[in-house]
Amino acid sequence: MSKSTYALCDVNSFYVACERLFRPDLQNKPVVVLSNNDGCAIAMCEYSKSLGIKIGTPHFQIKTLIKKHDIECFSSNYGLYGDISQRFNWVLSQFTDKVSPYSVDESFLKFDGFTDNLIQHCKRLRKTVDEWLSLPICIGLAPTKTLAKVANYYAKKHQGSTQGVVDLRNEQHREWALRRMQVSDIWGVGRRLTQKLKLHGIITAWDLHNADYKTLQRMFSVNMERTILELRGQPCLTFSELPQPKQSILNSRSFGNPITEQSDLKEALAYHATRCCEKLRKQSSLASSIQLFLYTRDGYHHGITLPFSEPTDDTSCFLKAINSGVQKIYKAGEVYKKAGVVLFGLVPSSGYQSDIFSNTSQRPELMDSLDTINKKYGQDTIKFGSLGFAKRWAMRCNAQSPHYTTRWSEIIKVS
Amino acid sequence: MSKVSILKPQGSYSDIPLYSGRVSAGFPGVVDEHMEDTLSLDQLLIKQPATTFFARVEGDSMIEAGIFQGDVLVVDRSIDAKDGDIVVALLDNEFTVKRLKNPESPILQSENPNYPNITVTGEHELTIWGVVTGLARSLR
Repeated sequence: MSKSTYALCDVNSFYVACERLFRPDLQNKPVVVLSNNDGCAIAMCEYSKSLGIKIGTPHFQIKTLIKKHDIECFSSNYGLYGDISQRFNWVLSQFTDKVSPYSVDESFLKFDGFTDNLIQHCKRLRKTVDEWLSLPICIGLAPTKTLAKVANYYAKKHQGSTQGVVDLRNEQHREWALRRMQVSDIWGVGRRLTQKLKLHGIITAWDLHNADYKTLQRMFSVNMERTILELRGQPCLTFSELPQPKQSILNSRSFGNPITEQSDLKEALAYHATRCCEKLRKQSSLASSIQLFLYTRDGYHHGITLPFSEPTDDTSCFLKAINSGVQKIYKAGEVYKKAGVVLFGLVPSSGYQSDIFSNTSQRPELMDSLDTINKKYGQDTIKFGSLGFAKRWAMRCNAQSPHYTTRWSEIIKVS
Repeated sequence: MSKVSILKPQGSYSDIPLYSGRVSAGFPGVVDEHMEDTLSLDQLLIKQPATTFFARVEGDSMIEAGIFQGDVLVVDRSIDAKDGDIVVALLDNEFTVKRLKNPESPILQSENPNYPNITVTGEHELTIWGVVTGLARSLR
């Protein structure tokens, strides 16, 4: 019996591809998608990347570039992206019955019993996704999920020569690939682990592949052992399993320029919360509470933790919590140099599914959490953001594309 | 001889229970046991939901094909357009609905004598975005 093969399929610049599906005129034009509230860039086409626009680059910093290169800017349209993501996974399911979505634009596939014709099969898959949904994808094939990630990394890096499909089922090819890859690019190896591994002389993925997994397991965790075994071609992660769900998720950054305005702080925190939320959903967890923290130029630290009545992964819940939290800890006249968000109390989302689906609206839940907070911290600790604030929020996504697939009034028009 | 009678909608507005039991006077009670699946317009109009999108018609260039202003077109992107299909095409960066003739050297045909056919030449940029497979219209 032949072994299973894993494939990681991911869409290149997914949000951009979604926008281009309904705006084919933008196929060869640079596109950037902005975060909630238009704070910063969160997705961009290759060309925009080559201009130096990165994920997290503030919108105001690229306004000149946008004008100069005639870049089309969109506010993020999560309704659209979510819908296209589901369609994407359906198309994948036409090529194998084992599809496990990993994030909005990435899914693992499992093939049993395919051998030589698998590459052709994947090329057909790639062509189909392109024809049907106009999504450009890359596919990495390997005997384990961790190696499939490696293969995908190369497929993406060398799209021209690989036609977007890289097969690392062959051991010689694997060695070639791992020798040229930094350990930090391995799935599940974060920045902190990279630093520690460096102290033990483990720099490349190949170093990690050759490391003594028993020793490393003692020094780190069983997850490290699994990563090493996976790099050696022994599947340790089951098909729907993801490596090491985190216990808390943190996102923070120092400001390029010190910030004094409350609205700017809110924007920064909203950005961090959105990123945290993506990480949260990526590992299929829900957060029970959110902590905001601010550092002032004088080295003071202000923080507040807001519990949710029920664990959630809904970005809008976090954004609402931020609105309220910032009002509580912001002090006019202070100069802030850094802000961040931590999500705590992470629980697997699987156990909460029934609650989510039975909840037709998040509002009761939000009300509950506000009540919880107010109960804990005193009356009016949190109240709704002022109307002016809400308007400001709404105004800041005026570059949003129509909800082509989720609102009747916004479907495409043909004459 | 069996009859089909449609009873009041249940659940969503588009789900209408279908009774396939024989309905005849003096024989009530049998029908309930023969309740089958529910009917939905989605099921009728959409073969492949994941690749199907909707588009709103503007203008009257297709009225002789029974396509009017304000109609909702059901457009499937997974189908290869054949000669004679009504398609949603992107012509010089504008979405348009026309009948496709001769896909090899395409002509976009209007279904209204007031509109000329468009012979697609090298000067035009044409992409077939999807094939129109159905139509939905509210009458009031």
